[in-house]
Amino acid sequence: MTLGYIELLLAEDSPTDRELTLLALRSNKLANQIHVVEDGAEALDFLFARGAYANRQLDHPPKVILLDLKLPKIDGIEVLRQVRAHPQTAHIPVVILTSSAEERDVVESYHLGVNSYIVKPVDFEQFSQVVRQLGLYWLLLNQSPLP
Amino acid sequence: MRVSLQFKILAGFGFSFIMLCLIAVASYRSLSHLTSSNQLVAHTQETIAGLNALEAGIQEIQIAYRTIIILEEPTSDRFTETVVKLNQQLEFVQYLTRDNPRQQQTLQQLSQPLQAYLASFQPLLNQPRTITTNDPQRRVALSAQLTQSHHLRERLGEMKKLENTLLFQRSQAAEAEARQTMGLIVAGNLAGLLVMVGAAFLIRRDLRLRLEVEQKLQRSEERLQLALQSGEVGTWHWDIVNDNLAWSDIFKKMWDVPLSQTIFHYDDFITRVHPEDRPRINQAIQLALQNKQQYQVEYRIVWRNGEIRYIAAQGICLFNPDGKPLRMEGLVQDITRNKLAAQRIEELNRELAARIEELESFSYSVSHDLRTPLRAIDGFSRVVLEQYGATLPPEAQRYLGLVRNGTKRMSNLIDDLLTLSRVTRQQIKRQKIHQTQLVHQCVDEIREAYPDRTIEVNIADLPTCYSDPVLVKQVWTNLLANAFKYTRSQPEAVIQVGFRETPDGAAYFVQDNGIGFDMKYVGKLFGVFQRLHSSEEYEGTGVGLAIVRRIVNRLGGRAWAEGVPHQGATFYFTLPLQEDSYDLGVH
Repeated sequence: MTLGYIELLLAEDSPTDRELTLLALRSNKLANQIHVVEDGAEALDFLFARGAYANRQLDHPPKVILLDLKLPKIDGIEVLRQVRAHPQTAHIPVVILTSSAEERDVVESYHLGVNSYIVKPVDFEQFSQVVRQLGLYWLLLNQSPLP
Repeated sequence: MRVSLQFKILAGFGFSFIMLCLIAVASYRSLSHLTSSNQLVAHTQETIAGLNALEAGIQEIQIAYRTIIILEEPTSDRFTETVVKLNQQLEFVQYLTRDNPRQQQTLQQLSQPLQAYLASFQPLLNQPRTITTNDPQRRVALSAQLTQSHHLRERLGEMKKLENTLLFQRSQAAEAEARQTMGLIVAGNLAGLLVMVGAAFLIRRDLRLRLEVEQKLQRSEERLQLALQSGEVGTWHWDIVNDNLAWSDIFKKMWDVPLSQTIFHYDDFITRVHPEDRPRINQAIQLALQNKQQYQVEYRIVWRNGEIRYIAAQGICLFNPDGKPLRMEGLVQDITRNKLAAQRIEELNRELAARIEELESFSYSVSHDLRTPLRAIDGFSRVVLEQYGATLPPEAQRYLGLVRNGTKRMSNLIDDLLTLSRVTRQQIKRQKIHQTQLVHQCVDEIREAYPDRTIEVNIADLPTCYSDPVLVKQVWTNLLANAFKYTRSQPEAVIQVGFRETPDGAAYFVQDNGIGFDMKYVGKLFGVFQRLHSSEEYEGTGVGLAIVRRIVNRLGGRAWAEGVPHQGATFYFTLPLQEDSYDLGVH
């Protein structure tokens, strides 16, 4: 699999949530360079160019990672821990986008250096708004350090 | 100072004894005195009788002489006899009055004339019988004799008088002495009797007191035995010097040894103890003996059938003045039941912790997994409406709208249930809370949700409390949100927030002039999913007040409500106001 420049990495195991997120991004014209992974292991493979992503160029990290917490194989917290632990990926903004606001998850995420913690609203309009704001902020407004 | 009974008995009897001895001595002396007095009286009486006889003798001589003359009896035998008798009488009287010098002197003086008197008869007797009575010589002699006799009798009369005086005095003295002796004996006996009675009373009282003390002691001993029995407490006594152990029956039963065995040694004890616990016991005994501490240890013993029992033992050591340990006394209790119960509690606690863990993971997955499909339902309904709305009949569009309403309500329900579950298990972090500030903040946040409502909110100065700020904020938010919601139909909605004394204690309150409620439903108000209004009338899940009550209860306070239909409702809750007062509440 060869991939060009990816702006946004979306790690989401629920197909409906994946599709709704993409719908929201598209309707806000933010769906240009998006890559979707379905579990934590794939997310790490992508980020560290391992396994199926071994050929991926590492010189252009994504502008933001949207990370679900409850992911198969390796959960979101562990993905976050490894991303922050590695100098290559330590500076990539990570946004937790999850269904639940468990206190311990929030605390743990911030402890590991998450940039933002967002609970996905059930209401689609609200959800769409949230995705839009996220996309605008992290892809357009926010300035990341150069790789 | 308390005088011992023995001493009292001894003193009482000793005193009585001395009293009685004194009385006996006094009585004896008094009696002997009385006897000699009586003897004196008798002596005087005898003397008087002697004197009387003497007097009679003098007269008799005259009579004898005259008889001789008149009858001209030749015999002078009778006369001589009378003279001899008279002389004997005189000697006798002399003997009787030997104790009285005055009478002796008188008798001495009397002796000469008497002899002369007697001698005067001799010439007369020697005269011939022929001489007539009218003989002048004889007449003169007779007359002289009469005078002599008279004189003698006079002197004897004086003596008698003196003796009579003596008799009177002595009789009186004897009588007085007899009275005194009698009085002394009666008084002495009475005194002795009184002392005896007094001593007897004291002794009786002491005996009664002693009996009472003994009874008390016995009752206390019985109570102790009962307590030991009912508490199943065994007692032991260890003579360290001779290594002799004495065990109570309860102890023996506890130790699984036959009741008939009476002599035990330290080895009998330690071999029954679980081998792993023996060093601990030895250590405890060493500590008790060396540091003079209380002996206190828990250990296991093994019965003959292999059963293990848990024992709690304690005791004290007694030392001689040199500090050498002499013996130990103590108690043992079978705490197997407590131990097993404690183990069971531990097990249950572990089970409970596991259950809580399970519950947490359940609510976690509920919060996560149930929302995702809901979002899909809502999201794709919306997408269908947006992308294909034009081709759908109006009825289908309305149905899709109903689907979206349903998901929205379900989403709210999940949120509230999760909140309820979270407030139940969330760890409480207490700190001082400035309630007035907190209420202002809550009101501001809720106002944002009702931008088109004009509501007057009056917030009084509230006392600070000591509690968990996150949970307390949730309480205020729920109560205030309710007040906003249920005053919707009111053109001039007024909400009062304050703190006041109530019959149930000082409480914070939120009062509104909204639709209120009927007090007969007050029991349902704080239940989960309990609603007094339809969700079409007033949106909500019926969990808000349940959350309020659960939080307040957990924080050690109470929550309750008062209401009048169409006039408004007041919700009260209490919280610990001081740092140390939350322990008193339920949490």
